[in-house]
Amino acid sequence: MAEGATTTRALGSHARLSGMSGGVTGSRTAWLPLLSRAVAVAAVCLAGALLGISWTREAGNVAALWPPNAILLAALLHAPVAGGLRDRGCILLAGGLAIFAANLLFGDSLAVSAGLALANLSEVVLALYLVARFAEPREILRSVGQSGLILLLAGGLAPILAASIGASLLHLTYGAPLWAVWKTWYLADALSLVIFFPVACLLSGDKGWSLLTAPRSKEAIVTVAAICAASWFLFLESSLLALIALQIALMWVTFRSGRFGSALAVASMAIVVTTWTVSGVGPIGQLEGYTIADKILYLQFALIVVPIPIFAIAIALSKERETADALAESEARYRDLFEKSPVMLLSIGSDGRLLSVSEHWLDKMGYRREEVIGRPSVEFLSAGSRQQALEELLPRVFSEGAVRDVECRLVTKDGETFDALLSAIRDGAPQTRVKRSFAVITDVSKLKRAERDFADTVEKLEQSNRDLEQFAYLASHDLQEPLRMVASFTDLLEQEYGPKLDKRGREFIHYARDGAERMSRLIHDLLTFSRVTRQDDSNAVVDLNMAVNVALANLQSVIDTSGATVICDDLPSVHGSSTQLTSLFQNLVGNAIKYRGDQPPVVSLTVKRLGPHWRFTVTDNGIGIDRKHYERVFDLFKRLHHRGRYGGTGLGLAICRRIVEGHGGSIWVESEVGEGSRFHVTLPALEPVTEAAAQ
Amino acid sequence: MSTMSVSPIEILLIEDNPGDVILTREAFERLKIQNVLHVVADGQEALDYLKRRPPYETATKPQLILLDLNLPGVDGREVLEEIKRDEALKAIPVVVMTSSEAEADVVRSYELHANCYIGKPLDLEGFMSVVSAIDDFWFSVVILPPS
Repeated sequence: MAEGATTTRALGSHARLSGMSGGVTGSRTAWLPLLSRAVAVAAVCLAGALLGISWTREAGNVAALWPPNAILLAALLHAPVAGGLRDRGCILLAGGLAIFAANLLFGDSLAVSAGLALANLSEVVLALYLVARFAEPREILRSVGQSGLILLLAGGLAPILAASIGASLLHLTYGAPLWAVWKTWYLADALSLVIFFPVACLLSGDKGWSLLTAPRSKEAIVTVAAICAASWFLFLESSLLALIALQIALMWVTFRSGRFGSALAVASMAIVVTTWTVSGVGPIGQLEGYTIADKILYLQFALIVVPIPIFAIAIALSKERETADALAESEARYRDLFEKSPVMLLSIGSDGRLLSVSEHWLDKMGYRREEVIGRPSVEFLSAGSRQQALEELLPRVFSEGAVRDVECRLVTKDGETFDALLSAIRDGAPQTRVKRSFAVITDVSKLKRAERDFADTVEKLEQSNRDLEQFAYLASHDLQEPLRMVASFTDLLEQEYGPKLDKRGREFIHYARDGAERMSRLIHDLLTFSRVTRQDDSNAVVDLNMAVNVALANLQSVIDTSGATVICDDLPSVHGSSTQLTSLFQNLVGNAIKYRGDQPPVVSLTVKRLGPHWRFTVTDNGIGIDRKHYERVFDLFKRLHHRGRYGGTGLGLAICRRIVEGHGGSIWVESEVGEGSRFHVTLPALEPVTEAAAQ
Repeated sequence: MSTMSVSPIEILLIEDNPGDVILTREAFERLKIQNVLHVVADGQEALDYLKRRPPYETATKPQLILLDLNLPGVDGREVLEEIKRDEALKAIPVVVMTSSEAEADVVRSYELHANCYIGKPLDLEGFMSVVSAIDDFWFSVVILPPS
């Protein structure tokens, strides 16, 4: 506090001393930014000190306000913690030098200037310790309790020390009255901390200068500047009106612009009022019969009662405003989420009309928002879905609380319809009888189309199968009957007129008869082939010993004629059709005998368990098959030999393959020409896990 | 061979294929079967005959019916169904003779109360033996209801 003729004080503007925003960086700051910050702190402190001292000069050795301590304290509080003592020491030194320089400039001796600077620094260090130790400086103007505590510690306690040192120094140096100087010093420092610390603290805090550019702050700055300018005239014209106007303006700024605006306004008003009071104008400056010291004291008391309620109101208002802002932001975020979601969302009011829809809904439906809001939600459903929605869906939503994945059809603005799934929930608890709902629609037209295509394909396949069966039936009768006519009447012709024909004529009849017979066998085999389908009774258990016995019985005459030996393992049971499995083994054994070589045929049927399958092998000593025909022998109408030598329709193995595949197995052949053949067949075993290995 | 009954047996052959009609007559002739063979060529005609509708007002009720299943118009199966539903006709034995060996046809025919089902053989010899067997069984072994 500036006392004596040379005491220096200055009011700093509230620079956010660069880098002062505290504790953000995690490590020691480099020297260059630290130095520049220190220089900035020094400059602002110097300006503040000079302003304070200028009031002192005009007030006659008594300072009313002393801003640099509040500025320095704010800068120190926000110095990076990681910087530790070095950073804070630099800033403290810069502030001390500024105060020392200001006092020197106004003519104090080196020793007095240094002493006054040290007194101020002791106050700042004590305030720093008290605030950092007992309070949370970031809570300034955020909570009433913390703000009060900070101002009490920094403004109420810390100046006691500085006032004692400063007053003693001035008393010893200039002989100033100890108690009067102490009291003025203390009041000026305490008051300055209350008035200037909040705004300095906010500006050096995390948000820093960006506070100045916030819309509310801009308004506050403009308003405060306008009031300060207007006060020039107000103080000259009418002191009372000026005071009332100032209070109203303060309240206005506080209400409009929150904590920064109010802190700025309080600081600016204090400067204006102090300036005019020490100039002898205004309600206090114009008082008659008071010494300047009394006027200053009066001013100081007046100034202390204004900021406290202003700050309290600012804190309360800011809290409410922040809550409202957070709510508004959250609401905006959720509205955004609702509207921008890539999903068809809609909210329906209690009257069944659309309250809101998502942009995706609008895109899909081809509408603009203003075209649909307020229209009944069911208008966008197809006629069928609309009825279902009104009679079933909506009542269910309100009685059960939700519906999930209900199929419906939507109609776009262009009149196109598409299939969708609709899920909806009631908006609000059932007790509240709220009849709003919220729905999600998923376009499933692609899925539906695929489903329809699939059903169409199945239908076509089934139709095709029915046609084939019909064909097979027609073939069995309609092809067989004309053949019978050919065969029978050729027989009749031969019997009745054979004797009248020559040898050539009878030969012709023989060919006609033979052709008819082969045609008949062909038709028969083709029918057998076409009738081999996956058996409905494939769950029946077939004892293959029985099936093979029947097959061998059917082949008995062939076996007898050829002198064949057939050896057969004991066979397992499998799932399947006994008719088809008999036919399978009859074909395989029949082939083994038919395609015999020069020796009497020896055919063996063996079986081996391979994992979940049985493998059956029919081995013969016949003519064998060339490797290149392994696959072809299973094709329809594939014959490897001239029919004169080995008869047959070329369908036997094709039928075998169809039977085996229909039973879930496979069939293949291994053979060498002249070495005999091995036909392998696999069929699924009954109990894949428990059944013991074969043989 | 037919052992001659006191009076010849009336047989109705329902057959659309003239070839089969000739073959049947030939067989009857060769086997010296004396029975009376009436022939109708489709299902409607067969029903008219059996129910004595014009022009068959004077037709006699047959004692045995030989029925082909695949007929134009009213199908053989329908004829069979109609015969077995008719109180006056259902006692007449019906022998289904057809080219079809489809299992479905066999099953269906017996379900409709056919008395037997015979597949027509491919060649003449087979056909003769079938007709012979029919003659033997139905005209000698079996005692038929009176006409």
